[in-house]
Amino acid sequence: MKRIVLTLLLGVVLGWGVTDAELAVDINLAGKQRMLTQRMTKDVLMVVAGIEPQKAKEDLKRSMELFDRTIKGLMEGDSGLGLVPVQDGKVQEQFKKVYNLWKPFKERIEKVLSGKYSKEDLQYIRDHNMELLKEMNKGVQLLVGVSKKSKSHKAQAINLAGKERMLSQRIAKDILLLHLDPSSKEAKEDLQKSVALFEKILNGLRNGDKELGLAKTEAPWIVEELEKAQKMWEEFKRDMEKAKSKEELAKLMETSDKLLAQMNKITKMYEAIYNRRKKISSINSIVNSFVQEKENQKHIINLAGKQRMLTQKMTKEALLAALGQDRKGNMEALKRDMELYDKTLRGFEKGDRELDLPGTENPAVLKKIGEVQEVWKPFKGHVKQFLEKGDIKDLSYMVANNEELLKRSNDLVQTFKKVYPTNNYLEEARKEIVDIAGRQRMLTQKMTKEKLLILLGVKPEEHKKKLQQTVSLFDQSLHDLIHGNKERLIVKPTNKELIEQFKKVEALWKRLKPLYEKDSLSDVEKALIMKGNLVLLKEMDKAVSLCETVMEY
Amino acid sequence: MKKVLLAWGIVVALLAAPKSEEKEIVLVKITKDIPYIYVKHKGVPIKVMRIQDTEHLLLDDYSKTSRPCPPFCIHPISVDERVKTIATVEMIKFMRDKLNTGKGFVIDARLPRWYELETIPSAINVPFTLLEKGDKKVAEKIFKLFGMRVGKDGKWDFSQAKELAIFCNGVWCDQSPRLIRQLLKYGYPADKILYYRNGMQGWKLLGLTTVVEKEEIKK
Amino acid sequence: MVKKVAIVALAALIGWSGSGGEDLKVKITENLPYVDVEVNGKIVRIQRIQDTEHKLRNSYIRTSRPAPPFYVQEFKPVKGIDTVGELELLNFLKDKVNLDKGLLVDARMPKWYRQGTIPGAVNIPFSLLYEKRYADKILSQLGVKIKDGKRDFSNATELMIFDNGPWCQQAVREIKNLVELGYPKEKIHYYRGGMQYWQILGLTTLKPE
Repeated sequence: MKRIVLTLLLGVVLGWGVTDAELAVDINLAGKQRMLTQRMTKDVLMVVAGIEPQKAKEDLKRSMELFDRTIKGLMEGDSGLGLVPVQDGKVQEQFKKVYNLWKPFKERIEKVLSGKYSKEDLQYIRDHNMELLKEMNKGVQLLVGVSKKSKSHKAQAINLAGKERMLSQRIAKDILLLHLDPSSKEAKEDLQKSVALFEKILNGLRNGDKELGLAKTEAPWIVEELEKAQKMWEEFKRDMEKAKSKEELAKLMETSDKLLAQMNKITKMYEAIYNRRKKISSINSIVNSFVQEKENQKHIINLAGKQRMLTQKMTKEALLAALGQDRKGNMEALKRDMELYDKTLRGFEKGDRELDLPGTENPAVLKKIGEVQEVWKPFKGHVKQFLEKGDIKDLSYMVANNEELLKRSNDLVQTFKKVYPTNNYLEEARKEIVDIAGRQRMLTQKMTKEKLLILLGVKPEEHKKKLQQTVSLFDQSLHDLIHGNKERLIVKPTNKELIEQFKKVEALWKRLKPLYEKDSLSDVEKALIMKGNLVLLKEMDKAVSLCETVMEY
Repeated sequence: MKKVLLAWGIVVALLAAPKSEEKEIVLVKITKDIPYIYVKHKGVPIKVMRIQDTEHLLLDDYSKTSRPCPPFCIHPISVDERVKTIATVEMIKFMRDKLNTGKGFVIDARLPRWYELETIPSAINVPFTLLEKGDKKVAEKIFKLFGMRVGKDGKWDFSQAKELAIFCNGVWCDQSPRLIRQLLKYGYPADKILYYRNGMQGWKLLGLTTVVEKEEIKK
Repeated sequence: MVKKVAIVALAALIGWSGSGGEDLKVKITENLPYVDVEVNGKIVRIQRIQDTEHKLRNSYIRTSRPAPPFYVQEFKPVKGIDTVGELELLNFLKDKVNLDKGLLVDARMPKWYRQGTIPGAVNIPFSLLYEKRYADKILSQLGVKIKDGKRDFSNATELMIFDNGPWCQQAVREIKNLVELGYPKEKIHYYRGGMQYWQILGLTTLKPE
């Protein structure tokens, strides 16, 4: 049952609406919007200050269009950008809020672009860019919340490395503000704060920072880029102190852009690690549920195979009881095996938690189960009768019909194999071996049954012939399994554990075989067969499961 | 001709093989359709097949993992984009379809010492150093053996030149890449050169027959 | 041979960048001493075993696995799929896998994978892709979208696929399955050497957790 529950759980987990990868795109682009608010403001200031105004205008136009498209995409979806709207009331409400702030902001920018702007327009941009940034940031935080990744160090690294992009632009903006209005206390304070924060985050990414929730970055390829960023930043700071002329300011703006590009590159690297890990963990889940399902199917086929053996074992036990060999013990074993056969057969159809059987609705399987039931129902009736009264009449019925039950049980095994193909050529190649080894289990019981029939004097000539065939089939198959048989495409095993197990079976068989072949047996010898066949069955069963599970045969 | 000492540990298995070829069941084939092939090594017919003992392990120096790099560095999958890289199956098919029909040669590019110790059946030894000396006359001599013709004007005509499948010790060996680069430098047609990158190591990892000329304790 | 994994936390302390690896006696190539890859939150260093006398002593030196079923693969078993070697794989890890632009795929059945794999590889058993239900789920993780009821591979991840080596069919079957599902051939590469050549070169392997 554990297996079944697991599979169900996985189905639920995998059934998300927006995938992680899609959400990651939303977060990344929403994060970029923060930077754009500052960049646009910086560009406006460059236009006003006359620092490379043409370039600034071009950039401003691009940023404005991107911001506009992205905010709309976050609300309505945009396949070109890979944006999928997140169906979450709070998130959407926040984006609506940003959009409402954005509309008047955008009008002012368009005025700047057209060259027909007033002082009021500039003041509006100065007054509202931080608000736009703040509200956009809230949106990002809500998205991060949706992805439940806020606690992970790596997610924090993505978030803060992303923030550095914004800070690079905000710092540049503040520098321009101070250039235009050196007395602005507000700009001065914001600049100091931004510089300190930029430095703290960059340092945290390089060396770890508990307060920021950052672990030291270990990936060498990111460390390398962080060192580059650090150098750029030092250069930027040095130039910032002394930048006075338009040319110097222009160079400073250029460096801030380089810093932005570098931090953007780093953010993407953190994102890559994060996305990759998510992807791998999803793939692992899918693979696990697949493996589980295959194992369930193997389990079913194995139980069906055992049913064949049980048909022979039951008959053998009834015979032993009739012979007076440990009558009580054999009657009990017969009852147990009858119940197990019955429970398993029902489990194939309706499911059985104890046996780990899920049940089936497959018509081909149901039909075969029905055919087994046809023979099993009356057979079971006679077993029950026999258990109550010990009547030879019921035993005769079992003796006469057990082989038909065996045949139909075997048909069911074959049907399961067809319905649950392995698609695994390695197992295909081993199928023959597993089949032959599996049959050996049944043969141990069949030959014991036949030996008993002879001892009881039930059609002794017929059963002697049958016994001879069973013994020689077992003998030949065991020989092939141990030494290989080229014609039957049976490979000689190379796995140590398996070789040992076969040797164990062989040693047991060497002692038992003469007893099966001997005409008259002493009581001691009879007892040896009766005990020995069960040990042989058990050891053969171990060998079968090894055949199935060893990595290299 | 020097007496060929046919001391192939591997071939011993063949002596025990059944006499009637049709009935022989090969458990470890090379490909689905090729259980084994025959080639001639210095005139002696040799059956090339895989060791049939499924438990056999490669224990000699070809199981070494860590020859110092440099110089024994891992080589890229290809020597030159014009030259095709092949693997063992293609090598076997080359032997069957080209070598055995007189259209190609199998070339061991290693130094003679390696070649004498152990090589792939049918291989002829063209040590990479021969061409690296830059002597055009030596090159001409060798290429003539490969079927190149020299015109009246002294120009080299490769139209009848044979195909060459070239190997050395394996992916960590530079002897065959070096020979191939020299061949290309001298204008040997790239489409007549094949690079068997897995080399001796790859050949032996599949338990394929080798020939040993000099029995000598391997260093 | 599962080599002890070098976790680079230490290396970072001694200032890994630039200096590490130059003193290795057995490098990958002259200019490439090692390659780092991120695995489950840790940095794993791929390099070669440094004991120059070391010999491979696990089942990968078995020469004669029964064929059938272990036939030797052709150099290019699937038309249009590029075959690569160790260096190409290492560059793929460095330039693609670490940046989430490609996946290294171990195509073997999970019990093989769990014995040891190439660091950075993800296990997608070849037999899984025969079943549509599972194949679709995996494809969606590989960036395949469904557009108008059809699979859209335009954003599909680049894959490099391997198995046990030249005598193993698992990767080839995986590749054939992917091609059958419509995966673009130019986005698939085949590392034919597989675990066998990886280990005979003494390269680092990793037991997945």
